[in-house]
Amino acid sequence: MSGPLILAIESATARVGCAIGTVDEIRASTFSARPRRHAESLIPQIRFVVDQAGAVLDDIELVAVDIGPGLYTGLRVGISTARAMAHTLGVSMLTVTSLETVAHGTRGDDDLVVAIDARRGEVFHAAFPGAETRSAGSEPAVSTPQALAESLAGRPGLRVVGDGAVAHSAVFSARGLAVGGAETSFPLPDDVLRVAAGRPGSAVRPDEVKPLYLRRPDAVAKWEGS
Amino acid sequence: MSADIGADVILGIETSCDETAAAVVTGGVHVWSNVVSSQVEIHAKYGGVVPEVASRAHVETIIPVVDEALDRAGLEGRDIEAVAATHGPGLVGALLVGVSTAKAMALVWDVPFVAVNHLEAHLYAAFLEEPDLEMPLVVLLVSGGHTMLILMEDHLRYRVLGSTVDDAAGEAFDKVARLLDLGYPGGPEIDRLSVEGDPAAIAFPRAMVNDGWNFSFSGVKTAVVNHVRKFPETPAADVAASFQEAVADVLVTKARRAAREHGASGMCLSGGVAANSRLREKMAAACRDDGLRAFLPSQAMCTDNAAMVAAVGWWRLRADGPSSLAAGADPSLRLPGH
Ligand SMILES: [Zn+2]
Repeated sequence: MSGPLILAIESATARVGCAIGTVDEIRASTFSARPRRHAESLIPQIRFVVDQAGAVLDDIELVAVDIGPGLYTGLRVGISTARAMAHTLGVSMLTVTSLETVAHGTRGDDDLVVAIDARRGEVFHAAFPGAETRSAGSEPAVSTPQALAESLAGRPGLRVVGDGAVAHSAVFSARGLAVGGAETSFPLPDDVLRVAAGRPGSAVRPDEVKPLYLRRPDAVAKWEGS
Repeated sequence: MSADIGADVILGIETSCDETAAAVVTGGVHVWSNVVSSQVEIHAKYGGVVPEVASRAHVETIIPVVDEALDRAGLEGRDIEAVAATHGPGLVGALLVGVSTAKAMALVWDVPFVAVNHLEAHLYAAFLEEPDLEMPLVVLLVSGGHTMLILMEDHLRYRVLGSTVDDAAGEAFDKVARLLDLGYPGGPEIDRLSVEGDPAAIAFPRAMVNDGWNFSFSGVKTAVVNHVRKFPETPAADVAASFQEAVADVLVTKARRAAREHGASGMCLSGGVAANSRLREKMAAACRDDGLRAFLPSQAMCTDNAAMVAAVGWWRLRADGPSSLAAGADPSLRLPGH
């Protein structure tokens, strides 16, 4: 029993990638080794993985996408592409967050806090306690790494992972928190596929898929604050 | 694929600024559907287009807009033979939504993708309503982001004679409207108020009117600010009408001189400001006097739309073949040869 063929798209950080496979097996995947211009590379990458998997586009039965939180420009490229592909293929979609994707990809069974770089001196974050419950994290939030480190201080054994953890590692180390290794920095397309494949019952229509921004546009915040 | 590619049914997508638009055009001229979802109301309270707000709205709206364009054309996605999308110039986050959507659709339908220059699309808006427009043609492209005087010598062959050295004409309208408390967008408000005013009440400067092909609108904007400060009792309608007259005067005078110098057979307006009634009147009168054909597109073809994008897609596909699926957005794209 191999389950439906899923195309998974990852674009929440400065890197971009995609994977194709089922709940049992990743058949092909790519992920940019360096920061990439998402709009330029994503479609060629999709073409490449479909080809590598020996499949054709019409074989795709579900499109999974990371809806963030993350960098807005990349997310919009990934989500627009994923929605347009699912819509034109006539298939449903599965969504995952960037934070649970990183948690899923992190080895070990310790308590995790995932922090993704949100730029402007902030991180997006959520907590994922213990190995078995790592699929159920806390509500994603945004704050400064200092405020996050403060709230986590005095909890030994806790590990902070993600590219936000790496970027602000000094802040977390100063509070006695372990910072995860480089292999856990970015949400990976393979993990988007695995997390999504684990919940086939939550498929939605492409028009129901929306980016998880967590921040209002500056102009809106200013206008509503005035 | 070769340049004699036969794709005729083209889906156009436009998301460069604050309109989410999709259209189906065949043969480069026959408009089967032209759907525009405007964000004007969303941005009105901020007094201008907010890029992040625009990008978010495009993401939400693009698929329903494409669906409606297909629906109104009575077509299925698989009937589409090429997908054209604006890839610049414009707001980068907004452009990427249209480009990503268009490329994904082209990939799934296995049809060519065409990356379209938004400015070139404005040049082709006129041909959708008047396919037999004769060239050479002088086109005055005036919008919130652009003010250009273009000599169109043949299809896909044109020269940018001049453009603004500071504000775009539409920008000047927005700024003066804000000064007079008329709301956003400023163009239609000034147009409306001007009807009750005297266009000769105040002699606002006509910068560079007899000098070269470029435009400058920051001077007239400053003159309006100074006038309102010095003579606060001047009726706003007179200020609006006199300002509008000065802008239209400069635009038409230069276009007319360009037409004469380059032996153009007609003059054409394009872009959002082309909806301005005084500009249209003056353009029509100038053409009448000079024995030229005037082409004044309908409101729908003045503002941003995807039919003009699909039209250019058709021409470009024939001339250059498909664009690469590795194409991105270019927010500061210029017209070729400029
Ligand atoms: Zn435009």
